Amino acid sequence: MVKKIILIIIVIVLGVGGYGYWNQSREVAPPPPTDFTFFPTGEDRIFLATSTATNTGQMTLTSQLDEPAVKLSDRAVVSVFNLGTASSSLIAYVEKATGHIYEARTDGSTNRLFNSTIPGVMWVSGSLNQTEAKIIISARQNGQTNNQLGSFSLNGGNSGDSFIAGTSTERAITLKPLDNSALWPVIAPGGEQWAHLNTQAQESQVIINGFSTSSPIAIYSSPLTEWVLNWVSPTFISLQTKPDSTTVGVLLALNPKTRVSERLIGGVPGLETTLSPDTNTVVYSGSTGQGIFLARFHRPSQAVTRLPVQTLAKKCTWAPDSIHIYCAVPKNVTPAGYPEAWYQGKISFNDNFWKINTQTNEAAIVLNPELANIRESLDANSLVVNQDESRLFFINKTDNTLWSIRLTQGF
Amino acid sequence: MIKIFITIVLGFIIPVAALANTVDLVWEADAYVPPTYQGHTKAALNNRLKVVALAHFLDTKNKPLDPKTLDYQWVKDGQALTGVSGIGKHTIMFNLEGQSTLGVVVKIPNTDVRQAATTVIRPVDPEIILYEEDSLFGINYTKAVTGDYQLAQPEITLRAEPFNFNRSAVLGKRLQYDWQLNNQKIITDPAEQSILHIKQPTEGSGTNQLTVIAKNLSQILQTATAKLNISFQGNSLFNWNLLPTVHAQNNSVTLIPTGIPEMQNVTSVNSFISAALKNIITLLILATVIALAWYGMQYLGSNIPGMKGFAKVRIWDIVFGLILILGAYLILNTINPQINKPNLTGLPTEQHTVPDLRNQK
Repeated sequence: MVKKIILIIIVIVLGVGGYGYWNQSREVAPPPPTDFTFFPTGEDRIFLATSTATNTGQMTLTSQLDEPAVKLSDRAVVSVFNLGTASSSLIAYVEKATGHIYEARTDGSTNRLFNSTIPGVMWVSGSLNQTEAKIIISARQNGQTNNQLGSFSLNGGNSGDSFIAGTSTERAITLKPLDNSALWPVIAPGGEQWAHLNTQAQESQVIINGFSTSSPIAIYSSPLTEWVLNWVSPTFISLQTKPDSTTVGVLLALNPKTRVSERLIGGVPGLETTLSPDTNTVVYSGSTGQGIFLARFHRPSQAVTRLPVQTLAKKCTWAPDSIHIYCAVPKNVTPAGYPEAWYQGKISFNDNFWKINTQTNEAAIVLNPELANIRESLDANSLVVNQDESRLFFINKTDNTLWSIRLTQGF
Repeated sequence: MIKIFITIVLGFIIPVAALANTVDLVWEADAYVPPTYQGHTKAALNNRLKVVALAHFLDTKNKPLDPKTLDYQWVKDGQALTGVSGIGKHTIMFNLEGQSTLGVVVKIPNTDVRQAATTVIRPVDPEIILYEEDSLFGINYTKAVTGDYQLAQPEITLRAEPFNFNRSAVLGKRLQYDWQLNNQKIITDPAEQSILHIKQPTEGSGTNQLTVIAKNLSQILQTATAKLNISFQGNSLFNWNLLPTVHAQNNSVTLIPTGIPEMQNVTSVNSFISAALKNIITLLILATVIALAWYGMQYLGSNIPGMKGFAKVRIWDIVFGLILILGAYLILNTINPQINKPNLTGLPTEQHTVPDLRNQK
């Protein structure tokens, strides 16, 4: 009997111990992939600009340049803008962490233009004339805004050096402080003046400043303070109310010379707008309650037309001909209030890229990332097209990296 | 004849000018949004609203009229607001206490030229949205941290950003943030309540629920909650000394492993014995209780001669065995306290004490 009891105890001990050992030795599932990789896996058809580790920070593309998509930066980019003229393009972008300014070339390569370090960059506006380029950099650190103006000659450094020609070498930019109370400063085309919003308790003013010693001039005042400013042409500043799906928006045209304002669009909830370079056409988006619509307003004829895609106007950019527009169009639009759900980062999109003729309403896909075997999700923001429309540049909002896609049709 | 001509011309021009006249009702809330946010404020309850009639009227020469020369007649929820109506009264302000319908009729004084507009303002709740903050890149406003979040790096800093709370309350630091980890309060530095540093434990894995509740101390109706399920995969080696705690130092909290530490990836003989011992003690105590009950019933209920004596002996054996088990427990607990925590559910059972940092600098 005693032996039986001892045997039973031994069996119980071995059984419990064996179960515990079996549980402990089970393999733990590997952690799921994270989204903290800037570089995709090898089988993706993404071609990266790899650094040659020179002092100028020049990066040379090491793979085929006719691939549909190229990731140009492995670091977060805060702004990409076109410093080009009517006959040439200079696509520049700013690194978020350092404020360094790079040039993105048509051949897909990049080149660091300036290595002046400005951390916390949140907004950049630039313009250039025949000889000089100007950039306003607005940075925010420790709750304080810091606005600076940088200007540089187009032909500097070595003889025959030219940014436009893409033969520039790196240099230090000269920075001059600007009024730190200026909100969302914008440079006029041609770079002779800049404008900003000055907000008081009960009203706001649009202030024009020269880059010389001229005094600032208030050209418009409004009891509203939530405006988005854009200097489109020498005689056209657009004033658009900040968008939200729960309130209607208004777009005004402000002539900085005559100081006359004209109402262009009103009564649209969630209004976002983008104006053609010739200012004759406004492409705008609005909220349908849980979705988005895109439409076109032609100023000379006062005609309003619905466009055949659904996206935000902020995800579009005009071609130089003021007829065609390139848009990043979400494959699926999750029901939500737009555009604030996207602004707040609650919603991310996965886009196809379209080219739309705003006169005929014809639209064609120029890139479907899925069909091009691009496995990364592209949520395009800050779109810019170069002068010859060979490449479209944008910031992927998912990870703030800079991308360039070849503009073709057929995907 | 000239008078007739002028009348005909004016009769044509005035309706054309009237068609070009517009009025838009646009409102703004005295609400806080982050400085770099490019969206509009929303109307939360008890926020002060400013409603503006943006009027664009043309005169007979097709020139824009100064909005301050126009006559504005306001109506709110069917009631005429005569006190704030009149020439140049293009703006009204009020506290939002519920859904409101605003209307305005704008006209050129001493004419029949007028336009009207209405709008309905529905209050929304203020929000708290979590964003990742990096010392180099700043706050990443492009991606909200919500729902289920997989923590890959050893630590992360989260900022709770308020949206649409009363602006003066946020800027005047009258917003209180209450952070909780798995429903346990985390005490943070009152001077910087909106930030939390989250660290992975050196060992252990699991999922923790992080909650932050923001309250406007000046307006009790303005509160918002954000929740996040953080999954992490710490070092998977077994460690008896793992003691789950919630502690805050400089707004920092370490996540709590929710797996069964002693059941994770044990490969050594020592680990096998430790695991077995822990569960055997539990089983023996259970067996003791069952045996006591059985023989107790026998002692009380049996009428078979000698059975009571037999049951009594067995009960004393069981009591003696229980004393042995308890003695073994005490000895093992003295050697290593982690051994003697029978926990078949694998969930932490301790109450966590949190040091009060309010007086620390």
